[in-house]
Formats: sequence, structure tokens, C-alpha cells
Amino acid sequence: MENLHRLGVAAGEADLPQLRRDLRDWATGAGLTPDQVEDLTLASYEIFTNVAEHAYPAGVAGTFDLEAATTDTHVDVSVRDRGTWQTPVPDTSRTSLRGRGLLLARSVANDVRVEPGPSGTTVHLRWMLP
Amino acid sequence: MTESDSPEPSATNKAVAPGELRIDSVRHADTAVLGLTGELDTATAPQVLSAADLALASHPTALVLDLEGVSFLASAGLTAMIAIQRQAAPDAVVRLVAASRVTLRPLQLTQLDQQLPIFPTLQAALNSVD
Repeated sequence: MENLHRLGVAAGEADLPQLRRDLRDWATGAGLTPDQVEDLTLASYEIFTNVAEHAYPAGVAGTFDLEAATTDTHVDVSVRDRGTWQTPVPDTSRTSLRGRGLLLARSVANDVRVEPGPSGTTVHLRWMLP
Repeated sequence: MTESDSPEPSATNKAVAPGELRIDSVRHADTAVLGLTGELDTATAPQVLSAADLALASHPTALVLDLEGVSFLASAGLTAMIAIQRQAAPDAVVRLVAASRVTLRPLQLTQLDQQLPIFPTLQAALNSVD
């Protein structure tokens, strides 16, 4: 199973649905269960859209890198931007409209790690293979 | 096939292109129903808001969002539903039709199922509207 690499993906909304489908196809071949594939697709898309909406200043056409890799035991998805990640406040109160994306990602992935760096932020998502 | 071959076309059986969302707007007495088919994400959520605007303009007492045909539901879709519920109140109640994992899971994980009444079928949602 080859890893999936996408470098310099435009964080504009137009490319994201196709990337989501490419990732789903890859995950289907990586040995995850159908439910896990569904979860991986959702969590990854939420991270993509968080980059698109929050990592770059308004008007800046930012990019991110996607890497999806599999080992004997798990599948890792990494999303690396070159902007300033703003961790949404995971406010689960009934009226909150913000932070649902990361809340969803944290809920459906086995592990989520946000790694801030000097030149950008990487979000790591992990699922254990069945 | 000409239109005369199918005087009552079943809209829900028509295919929707990947990444697209089709919205069928139907009125049942005082209840407006928006039947959604396809992918509900950041790209397509604005369509739902517009369709809800239009439906609420005719002053229904209830608005049903039928998610049975939704194959992908992201947080942008959840946010749209909450916005619609707020907009509809207090004149109209908003109800959801959802039975699949792909739609129920995001609603449950974000606890929106406690805020928006969910029914397993359109008929059940319509029956509950008095």
C-alpha cells in the first residue's frame, strides 16, 4: 500500500471535496473498516476546512500538505499548513457554532495531535487497523 | 426517456454528481420539506441556507430537513442546521430525518441530537407535526 502524498494543496474550498474523495479511496485500500473509512474522511475534511478557514489571513491563498501512511498496526493522516493554526475552542455548549470541526475529528479518530511549529502547524490523526 | 414516460418522477432516485447537493423542496400542508441528496459540506451548506430561506418565506409551521439522501455530513452542515433552526423560531419548528450512520454520528457526537428532533423516516417527521 503506497502512501498518499499531496503537496501544496490550495486551501480554497474548491479543491477540498475531490481531495476528500481521493483520501477515502486510499483509506478503503488501506485495510480500515468501512466505518473507519467514513470517520477518517470526515475528520480529515474537518482539518482541511479548518486550515482553509483559520490558518491564513483573509485574502491569503494558503496551501497545505497532506500525507496518509499506513503501518502494520495503524493509519496516520497528517495535514501540515504553513500558516498560524488557531485551535478552535471546543465549546460543546448547545448554542456554540464554533469548534465543531475539531470536536468531530477528536471524536472519530483514535488519536489527534496538534503540533505547532515555527513555520506552520501539523495535525496528526491516527486510526488503529482492525 | 421523455418526461411523459414518468408523470411522477421520483426525484430522490436521480443521481447526484460527486461533491454536489440537490435540494427538493416540497410542501405538505403547513409543513415545508427540504429533501437533501448528496454531500453536505462547506461548499454546499450555503445552498441549504438559501433553500431554507425560501421555504420559511411561505410561513410553514414546521420545516423538515430530510437527510436520508445525504452521503457526507460535515460540521458546516451542522452549523447550517442550527442557523436554520434559529431563523425559523419561534414561528416554525425544525425537524430532521436521519437514519444512517454517516448523518447520525456527527449529530450525536456534537450533541445536536439533543437540540434538533430527529426522526427515522420522513413519514414519522410529518406525523409528529400537528
